[in-house]
Amino acid sequence: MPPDVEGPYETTPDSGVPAESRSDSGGWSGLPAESGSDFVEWFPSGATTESLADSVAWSGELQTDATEPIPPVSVDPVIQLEGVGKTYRTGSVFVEALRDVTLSIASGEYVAIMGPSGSGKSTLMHILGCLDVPTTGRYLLAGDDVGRLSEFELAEIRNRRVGFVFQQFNLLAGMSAWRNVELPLSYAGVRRAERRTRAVDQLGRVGLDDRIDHRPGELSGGQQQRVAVARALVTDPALILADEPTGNLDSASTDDILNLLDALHGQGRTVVLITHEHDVAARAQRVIQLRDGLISSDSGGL
Amino acid sequence: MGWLEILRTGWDAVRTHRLRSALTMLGILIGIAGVVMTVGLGEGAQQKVSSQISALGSNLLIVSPGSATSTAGVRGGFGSASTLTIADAAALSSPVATPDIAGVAPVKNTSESLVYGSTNWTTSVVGTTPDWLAVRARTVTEGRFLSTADQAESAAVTVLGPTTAQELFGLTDPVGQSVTINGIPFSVIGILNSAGSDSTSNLDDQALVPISTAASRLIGGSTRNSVSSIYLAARSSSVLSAAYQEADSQLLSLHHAALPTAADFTITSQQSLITTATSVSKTLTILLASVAGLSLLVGGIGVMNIMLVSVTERTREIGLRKALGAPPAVIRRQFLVEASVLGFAGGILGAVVGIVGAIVLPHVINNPIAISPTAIALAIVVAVAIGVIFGVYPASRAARLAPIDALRSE
Repeated sequence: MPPDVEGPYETTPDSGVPAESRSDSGGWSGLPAESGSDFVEWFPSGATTESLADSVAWSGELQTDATEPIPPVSVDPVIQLEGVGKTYRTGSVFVEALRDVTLSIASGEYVAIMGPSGSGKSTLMHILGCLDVPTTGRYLLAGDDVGRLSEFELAEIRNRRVGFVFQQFNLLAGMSAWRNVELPLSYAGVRRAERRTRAVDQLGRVGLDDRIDHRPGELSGGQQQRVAVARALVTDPALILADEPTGNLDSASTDDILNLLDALHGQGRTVVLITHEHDVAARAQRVIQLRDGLISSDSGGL
Repeated sequence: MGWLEILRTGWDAVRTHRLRSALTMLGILIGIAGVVMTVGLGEGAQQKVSSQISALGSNLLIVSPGSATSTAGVRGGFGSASTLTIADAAALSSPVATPDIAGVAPVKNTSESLVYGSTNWTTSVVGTTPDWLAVRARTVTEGRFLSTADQAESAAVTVLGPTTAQELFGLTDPVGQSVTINGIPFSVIGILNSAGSDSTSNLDDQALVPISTAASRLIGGSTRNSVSSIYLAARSSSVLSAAYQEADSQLLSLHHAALPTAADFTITSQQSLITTATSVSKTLTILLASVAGLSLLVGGIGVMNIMLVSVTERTREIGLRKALGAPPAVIRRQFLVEASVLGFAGGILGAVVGIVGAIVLPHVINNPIAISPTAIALAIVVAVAIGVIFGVYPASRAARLAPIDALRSE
């Protein structure tokens, strides 16, 4: 990253402190109030945004400063989507996965995103997780315009601030459970000995103390997904994105995983869950329905 | 992510796909082993040739007589005439006219049967002067060489080559024994060191006698004062051409030849032989090494191919790593390191195979193979470089994958 590029989050106390020392002061058992205040600090005092109309017309130019301050909101949003659209090109066919999504998610919220296949919910989650950038509109994550970040900065955000849980678990088959869990830490530059300690610790918290050296193939689906949850949590991210985490699990494992997510929410983390099962969505405080790339209903919101 | 970490990841990936990695390495291995062995073979041949040639005497010039034309008009080749004489040799040893010539050894060759007791052995009997030992860069292992006194007295003494001595005397100590040459008893005064053979004759199988003895008692008749050739040693290799000029002009004036084209002798130097021989073996080495280099290139393309397959096959893994926060540079490095681990391991194994081949093969093909540490080190560096060079493209393809496309692939 060029030294002159400074995302606001870099200057905040939260990310200024190395990940390893943060975990020493509580790990993910940190009090909700603390995590919440981290998000408040992510917002520099002069954090601004643009109106929807402006952002739709946004040309993609880098803008050094935004002009209009947004009116203060009662709860600080950690996720702000402003007229986000995403168009994929498959050969010569353009697919509009997301059309015009405007959405705010506050820090500490537990949100379920529902919708039929092809409604754009996975695309939305990829954008939320900085795996993809919108074609139109703006996505502000804790005040940072993701569209303006370099690939390196996006990688850093995915590493430190977002924890992913996938439907397919996505564990590396050749590595033991703890090696899978420590992977994000290795990209964060944490030393090997400490990585192991933290990975083992995290596996303990998801109830897999006795499975640290097992390879994914030697674990049940529920256990694999718990390893994946441990991996998502090991860098102590504030935002957990779960893409149909229970889609491949039996009902007992589903309960395990959903209880884990509930616990994470209880600790003040923001949890965004994609599902098409209503009983799974029922656990969330807020349910957003997507249809054809648009929000068709939203049970809550700011 | 530190380099050590990336190295470990690369090694893990190589280990995970054992068979595939082994086959990829095989390409590099064969190339490197080929380079190590062919370069070793070439170097061994060069060393052998130059040691053979320097065994003939360093700084050596050979004066051969010119062509003789018979009465019937048939012109013989060079050396057929007996135009060189003992007097020519004496003139060449003048420190005034030929200051750059350190030693002069005229030789008179004849083939004779040597008899010791009931054993006989036919070999080349060479009449020469005491200078011969220095000029031909030989030593005596036992006894002494011909002396000026032997020369002056035309003494019936002989120095034998080790093979000749072995054939005649077997286990008996030859020095002090007497052999009969052409009916004359000669006393054996010394044994030469072993020098192998040059391109035309066995240097270990000859009997040396004083040239005066040869002229007066062995090779009589009209040719008694002629010599078959004169060996000259220059003072050093740097004055070899000066020595050549001096010998040439001295002999031209002695032989009353007005023009160099009318010379009835030729002078050749060992240097020209060495140059020819080494350039031949160099050409051969280059030829063989380029074939080996070609196989190295093919091995490199194999690395690229496998790395591309690996990137395609592991698209999902790459996507996951990116989702977990791996920046493109780290992904690129990971695949580059993986490719260079393949190259390095292939290079090391290839070098080992090459060294083993260089040790074993000479027993089969009767040609020395030199083990050159520089060539081996260079080959390993080349192997790693091949891994890196052919890994760049697959690695940057991996780094460029969009995390989302990568995650979605099946």
